[in-house]
Amino acid sequence: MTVGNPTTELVLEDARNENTRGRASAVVRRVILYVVLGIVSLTIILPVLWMLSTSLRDNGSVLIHPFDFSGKWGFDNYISLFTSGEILDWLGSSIFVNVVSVALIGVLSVLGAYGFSAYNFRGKNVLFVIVIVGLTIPPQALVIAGFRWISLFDLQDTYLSLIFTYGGWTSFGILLMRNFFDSVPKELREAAIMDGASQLRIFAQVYLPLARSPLVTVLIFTAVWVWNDFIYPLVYIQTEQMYTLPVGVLQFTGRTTVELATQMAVLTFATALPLIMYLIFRKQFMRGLLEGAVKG
Amino acid sequence: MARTDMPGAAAISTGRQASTRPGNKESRREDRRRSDRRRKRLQGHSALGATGFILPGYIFYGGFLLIPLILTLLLSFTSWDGISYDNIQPNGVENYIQLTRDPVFLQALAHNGIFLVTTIVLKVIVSFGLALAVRRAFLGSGFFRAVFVIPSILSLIVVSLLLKFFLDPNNGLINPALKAVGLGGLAGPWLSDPSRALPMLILLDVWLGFGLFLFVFLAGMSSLPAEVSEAAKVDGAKPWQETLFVTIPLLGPTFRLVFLLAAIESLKVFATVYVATSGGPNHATEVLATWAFFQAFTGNKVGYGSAIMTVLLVATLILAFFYVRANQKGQQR
Repeated sequence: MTVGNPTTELVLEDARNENTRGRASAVVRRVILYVVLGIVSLTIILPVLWMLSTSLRDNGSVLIHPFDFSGKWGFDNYISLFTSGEILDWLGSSIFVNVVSVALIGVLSVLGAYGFSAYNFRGKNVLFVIVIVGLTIPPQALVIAGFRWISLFDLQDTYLSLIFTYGGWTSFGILLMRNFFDSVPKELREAAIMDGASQLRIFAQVYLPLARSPLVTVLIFTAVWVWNDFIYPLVYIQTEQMYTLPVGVLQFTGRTTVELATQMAVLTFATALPLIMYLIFRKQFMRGLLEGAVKG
Repeated sequence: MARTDMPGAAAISTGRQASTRPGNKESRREDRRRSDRRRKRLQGHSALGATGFILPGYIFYGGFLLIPLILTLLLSFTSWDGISYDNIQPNGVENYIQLTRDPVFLQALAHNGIFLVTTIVLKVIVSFGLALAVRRAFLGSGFFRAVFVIPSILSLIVVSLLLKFFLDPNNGLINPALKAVGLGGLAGPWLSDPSRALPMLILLDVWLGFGLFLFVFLAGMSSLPAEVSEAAKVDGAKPWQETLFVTIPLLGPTFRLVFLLAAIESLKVFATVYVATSGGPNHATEVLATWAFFQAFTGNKVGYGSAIMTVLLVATLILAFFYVRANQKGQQR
């Protein structure tokens, strides 16, 4: 006991010296920290702000003075976008496809995850591994054959082709939710069985209410992926009014007559919804990242 | 989260443990037998019940992911113009022989390789470095964390178009900005310069993806025992020593996971290249996915395009093998 004392004394002495000597260097370290984090943040914030501000200026002054912000500001670009109407069609397509697909993915994932967690049967691990592999497949690698495949059922150029395709994006949800269901203590199910509950009731009344938080995480992430997906609507949808926003935006900006400020209005419009949603749900989003990452 | 959401479950579990305490050897065996029976009843063994839960998801997963995957493999052994189903002609490994003689394919393959290596290295360095910086709470740390995630929720199309505007040699912002700070010598055509286009796309990919990996590292760091860090401090380790000799070795599994996820992600590169450069100038940024896309949809060579995609898929499946293995290890832990 007493033998240890001199060494701890020494260490503390050392730490104290370090403190007085290190105070200046701690300040320097802190300044460097803020500068580095600030620069990285600016590479993210500035482009978004520039896009937003340019969309609010008039086309003439934007080209002549990209950095002179004294010109006329207003919502003219947006008003002309809305009166031409197509962007609202694209927004409608995106929202419709997104809501239906994400709901479908949510239902399929939570059911599948429970099936994998609650039951034991031959071939379960193989089936589960096959589902996990889906997380790694690049969507664009399937689009060539996928387009011919959906054409066989006359689904090309329908929202249904997109919704069905996104319905296959359940790998992440099944993985995350299964891990969650596995972590629920077995005793909970035991108690429910003692009470004479059926499997379906145990799922609906015991497990489903518990799974709200991971389910929300799954819904948020799949919503972002579906919203930003570009390759499937690009190939599967041909009618211009039925484009989703990413494809519509690409089509729109590709027209040679479109001016810079108007283009930025379109890009801002396409960015707004996910960005606002993120700012509202960022706590849940970041928590989902931390949880998903530990298990991933 | 599992813990805070289920106070009821925790209560049940402690109650049950108290009631089933084993006495001697005999009763312990009896106990095990009984719990075996109970487990059988608890873990549904009916394949029928499992089917009801798993089948709906599998119908979509099989129908719209697995079947297109298999069809891609099958089509890669045919020649087809993609117009009439009567024109599908099996041609064995002809497409694959052609691949070895296609200079653009070989270029694209090399670009995917460069993408893989450089984005992994850069993403690991950037995300780990920034994770170290924001791992402990300080004034503004929450703000920085929130900002770093933003690129990963932005549409790839929007981001790629912005990059194109910024780097545009005529109306862009980068060249005048460089001239303004006296670096005019660096100004140039950027995306139409064959030596600069690919590095720009790589940087864009790192910018897009580092935020998510930062959180993978944060998650790994938060699961490290606090005593280790304290012990290092008591031993007089400086922060950089602690990072190098304590944090990094302990985060070995996290690093492996990030390497793997970054590799898988790098093979998914398509939209940014397609929008920003369409594989140009003169194939300088061509990757497998863009070249396959061009062959199948512009060149009407569906079989050949599928063969290129098959190469991409085989690379993906190799990584998927390691990913699944890492995942199962994680579950056993």
